[in-house]
Amino acid sequence: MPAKFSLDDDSVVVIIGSGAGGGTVSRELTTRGIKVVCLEAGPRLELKDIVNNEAEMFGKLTWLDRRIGEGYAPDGLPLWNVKGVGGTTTHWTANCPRFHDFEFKSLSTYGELEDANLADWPVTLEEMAPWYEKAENMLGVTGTHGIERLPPSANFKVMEAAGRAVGYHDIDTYNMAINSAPRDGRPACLQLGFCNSGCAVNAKWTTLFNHIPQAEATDYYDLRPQSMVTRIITDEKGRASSVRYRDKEGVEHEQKARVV
Amino acid sequence: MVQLNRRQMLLAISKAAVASQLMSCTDPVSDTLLHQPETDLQLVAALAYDLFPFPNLDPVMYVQVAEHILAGSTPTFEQGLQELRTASGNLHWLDLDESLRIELLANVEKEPFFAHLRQGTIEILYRSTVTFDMIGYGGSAIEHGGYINRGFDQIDWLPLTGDN
Repeated sequence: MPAKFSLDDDSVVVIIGSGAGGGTVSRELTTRGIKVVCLEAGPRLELKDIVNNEAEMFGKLTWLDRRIGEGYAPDGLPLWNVKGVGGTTTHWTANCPRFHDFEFKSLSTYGELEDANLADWPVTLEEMAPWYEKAENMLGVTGTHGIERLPPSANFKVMEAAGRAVGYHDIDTYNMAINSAPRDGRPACLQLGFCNSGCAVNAKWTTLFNHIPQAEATDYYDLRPQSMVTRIITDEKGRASSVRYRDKEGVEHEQKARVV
Repeated sequence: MVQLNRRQMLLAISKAAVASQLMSCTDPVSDTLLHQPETDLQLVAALAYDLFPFPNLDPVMYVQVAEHILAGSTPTFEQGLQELRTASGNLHWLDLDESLRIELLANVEKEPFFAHLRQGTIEILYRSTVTFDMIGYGGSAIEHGGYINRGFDQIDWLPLTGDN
């Protein structure tokens, strides 16, 4: 059951955010018996809060605080991501491609390009392959691990016909973290549409309805929604030792931490 | 359906706005009402139409847009409306030439006033099941078990290709 750790408990790991990264690490640590306090800026939605209405869900999900962005960044909304438990995994399209080998070496492949920031990754596809395997299995990605691909929609068929007409052959409904059949406690996709407004039946993988509840099933997870982190405090050695955050009333707290 | 021209549509919207404020849709609204000062509801409904002119929509839809926008009005928006009135010489919006209307709107298109107007119009026009029906969009299907039961994969006009 959900845990409650005190602010001066310096044996906890503090995780900032509960999305794809924070939500996944939350489960990985708590299921190994490590105490975690997860500070999430946004509120928590339940499955019944997810409705098939884009405008309503935009209001429920979106990070609407005024933000600053670079490049093409519309004032106040530089990108559409989610402020809420589960982060942008509620909103994501669930496409799960793997990088190709050359994409790990974009600088070597393309050379220096003006106004671009190409770099070679410090890892190779070969090194990453086992982690892709693990993640694809965890997310239930179609087209991997013997998982059936999703059925082709009418839209897909138009694209497919066009692709074949111009000579492509390798065409499928892609690798998606959306169940084509019940798996891992999640049902099959009903072709509702509205994937980006949150999947109302939990066929799409999210941390909100999967990893977070799994973390809460341990006795090691203290999730604090509507807790906006404002500062990471470091000790004399320059290591993170606590985190300041504001609760929904704007009251500031400081949570001690073993690791942030 | 009879296609209304732009002025006829604006007139219909303006009348619908007056009817809405009289809380009476049964009495025909006489043209003389339009000689009275333009209400905020009439003006905003007309502006919404100039932003998104769909002549096949029921004029009442634009009144609903205006009601929505005015319900969420701000001092900045009120001020923007007043400035637009002043700039248009306090004439009814529909009595202005189209080129002047476009010019007046273009002058404020970077303003928060305009963003409020545009966003509010989008929210109602594209959220409405009336619009969905008009373009043949089913909207939410969860109450019917999803599009998986409603022909998500049905298409009968594609040519057969080599791999089929």
